[in-house]
Amino acid sequence: MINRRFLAVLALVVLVYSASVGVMALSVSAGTATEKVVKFAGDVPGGDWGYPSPFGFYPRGPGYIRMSFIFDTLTWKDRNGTVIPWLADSWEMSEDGRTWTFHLHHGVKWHDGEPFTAKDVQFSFDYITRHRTAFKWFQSLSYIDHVDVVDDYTAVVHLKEPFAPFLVDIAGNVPMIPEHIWKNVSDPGKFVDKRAVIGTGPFKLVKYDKEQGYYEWVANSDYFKGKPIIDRLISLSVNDAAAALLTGAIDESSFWGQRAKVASSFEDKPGFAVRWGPSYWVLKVIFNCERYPTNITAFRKALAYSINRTEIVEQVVHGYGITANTGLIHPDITGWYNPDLPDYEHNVTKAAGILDALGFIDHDGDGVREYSDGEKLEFELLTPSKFAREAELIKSQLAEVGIGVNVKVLDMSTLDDILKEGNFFLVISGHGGIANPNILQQPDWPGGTFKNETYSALYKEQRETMDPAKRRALVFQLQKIVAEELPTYALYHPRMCCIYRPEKLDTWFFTRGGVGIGIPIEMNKLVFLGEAKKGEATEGTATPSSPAPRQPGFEVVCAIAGLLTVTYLKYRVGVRRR
Amino acid sequence: MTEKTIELTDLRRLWDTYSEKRIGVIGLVIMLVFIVMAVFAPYIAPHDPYELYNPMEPPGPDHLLGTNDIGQDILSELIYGARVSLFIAFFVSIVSGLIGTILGLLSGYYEHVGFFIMRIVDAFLAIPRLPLIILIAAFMRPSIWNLVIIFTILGWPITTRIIRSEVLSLRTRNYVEAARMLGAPDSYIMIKHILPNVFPLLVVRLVVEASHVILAESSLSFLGLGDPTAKSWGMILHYAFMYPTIYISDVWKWWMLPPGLCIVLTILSLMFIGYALEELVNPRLRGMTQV
Repeated sequence: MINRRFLAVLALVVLVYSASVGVMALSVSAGTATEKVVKFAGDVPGGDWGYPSPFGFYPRGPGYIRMSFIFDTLTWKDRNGTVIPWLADSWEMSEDGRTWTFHLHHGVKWHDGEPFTAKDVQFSFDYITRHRTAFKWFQSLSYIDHVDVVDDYTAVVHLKEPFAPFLVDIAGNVPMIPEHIWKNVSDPGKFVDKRAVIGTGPFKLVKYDKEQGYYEWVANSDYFKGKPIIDRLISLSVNDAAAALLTGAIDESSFWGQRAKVASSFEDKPGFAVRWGPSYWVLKVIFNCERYPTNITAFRKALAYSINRTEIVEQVVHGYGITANTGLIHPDITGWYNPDLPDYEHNVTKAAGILDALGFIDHDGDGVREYSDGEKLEFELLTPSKFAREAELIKSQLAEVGIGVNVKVLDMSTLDDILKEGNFFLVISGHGGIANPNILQQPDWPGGTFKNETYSALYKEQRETMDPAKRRALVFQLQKIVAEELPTYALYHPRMCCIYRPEKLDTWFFTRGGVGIGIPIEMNKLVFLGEAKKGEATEGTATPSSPAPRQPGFEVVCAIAGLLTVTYLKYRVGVRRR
Repeated sequence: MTEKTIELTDLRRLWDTYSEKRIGVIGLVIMLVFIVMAVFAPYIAPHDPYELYNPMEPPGPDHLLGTNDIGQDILSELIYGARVSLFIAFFVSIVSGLIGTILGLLSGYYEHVGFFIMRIVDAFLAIPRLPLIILIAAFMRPSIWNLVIIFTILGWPITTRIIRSEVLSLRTRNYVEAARMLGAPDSYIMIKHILPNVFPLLVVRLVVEASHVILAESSLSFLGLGDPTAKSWGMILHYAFMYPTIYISDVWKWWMLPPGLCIVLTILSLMFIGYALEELVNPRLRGMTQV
């Protein structure tokens, strides 16, 4: 009797479960039949990256990416980092490298239906050059002399000097904006109208909520490269991306450094796939090169010797990263990476020796050195909350050589402002873009206290050198100066992966060399155009195949079986009672 | 000699009444455990809480509660964490209690001074506490001493008001009036006749304040507004919540639960002590529970 009752309960549970799952599956499949929605979340909580217009986005990778869904550039990069035609079908460079002729794609339309022509190209370069301060993103527009319009589909860009990285750093970076809208805008930084997000891109912005960090785009069905393979794209801000993936609140997120560990718990989970990518990202300690005592090169070297990067990689990142190239360029980028740089291996005696020689000596024996005037050698180490653990380790490592450190946690935008103002001694900060030598323009970016005329001259020479071998030698030299002058000490390059639900979208890939000028995020707009499938798996590990999508039929069968069982058992019980 | 024995029997009587209430004894025992933990932390803790071992180790013989995300022993962190919480709690409640008592006595005894001080108290009480603390902590460099200052500034007004109301009633008692008529100076009356009578009330207030401070400190640290390198229970929780797989693995059992329990237990024990003391102070309340 008990047995039977148990069975009946069990059957009931099965019935209720399968019925509900069946209904859910039916509703989900009904939803996907009409609209394919993909939601992703950044790994950083509080994901506001600014209004995704060319003048409104927050000047860091994720901000540019959100803008790049709406605006196109003349060229773009495919998954191998090769420059491919985009708004321009083809181009020619003149002998002297000063003139670039672009043949534009025919029939491209702005989101409002107006045609895109060579006049827009001319206007875009002209307008953004004029409002260079409002356009906070990296650009080298000072090289542009003027742009000529030959006909509706031919634009000629004249440069003041030959510019080696032109195709990536300018043509593949500066967004094209519609002349008919922006010509009347005098203060682009304040133009956050709906019309400010009219571009030619694969998506149109439908919703942006600054407080929530919420972005919603719909596919541009008239897109000249074909309609995107999804209908709606949503970017959310979540506290815990791994949990959000599990609950289905999001369909994709990237994880890097210590957080890439979650990949191991998703690798075997049905319905999920993991893709590893190279990460052109670096975490570094930025020194203030204008303030005593961090303006002394030897002092910065002493700090570098005291910081144990191996320990940080092991304890904080748990091996999901490598100690960084002190010249910033990622070691995977064999074309630019200079392998012969000093790496300042952890050496307390060496550090102490330098500090002693500089006259920072612990006179009162309290374990903290003093300046010559008797004041304690103590600094504030500023860090975003994400890197508080790295800061904690650095604090104890510097304590070993007698340097006092107080850790102060700030949010990223405040920290970026402090770096620009130069109001700091030591800051922990990180950025992408280290696959592209243009990051060497200001090696202590987002800080700006490193000023060195020989270095600047070399940097300028490098980008005007069209001969690849010569240019490479110059980039090597630049890295050498960074590693020896140490305006910043690169700590580690984290590993990076993205975890996603293949049933929603399975075309995610990491772009070799990074998107645009080197953004190491898996958000190349080609992902949403289904391009990845065409040239499958050149980098990143293969993804485990996902199980076949759940068929609602199975649930229906379960429900019927459950119902039958219960009826049968009820009947049997009834018979016995009688 | 005789005076001392009287005091001892007094204490004994006090303890007898206090221990009648089991809840108070339980609270006291828990509190004592935490105090011992805090005072003797270097001897009790199996490791230095800043020493690094293998990160994310599960509980084992070496690390009874495992290690955290950068390889620090969680049990040792927990034991040292008691220091931060209890130190801030007791320090703040005693200092703010002291300020509150002095101002309360003055404002209760002298009407004009009282009016003036009470307006200041009104202003302070109108400010919502936690949001203000968060605001200040966000601007100041987070350190234990800054927290102590903030909590003290925000803690004294309530004590002042409570003490004042008691002084107002005590002031009109016959024995006080008698002392005044005999020509006793104000300071003498306040210290000899009024202070001993507000003392029981003060003790209850200190205990309540202490529990508030512990909670506030933990909340601040949890929100990441404390000193990121300090070892406090709130900070342990903060880092545990930041850990990527905290929700999808077992780690929370030994990383998140223990500091949470510690916070709950300390506050609970302070509450218990507070209840028991309140009954001790207020005989009417005691009578009621016995009936």
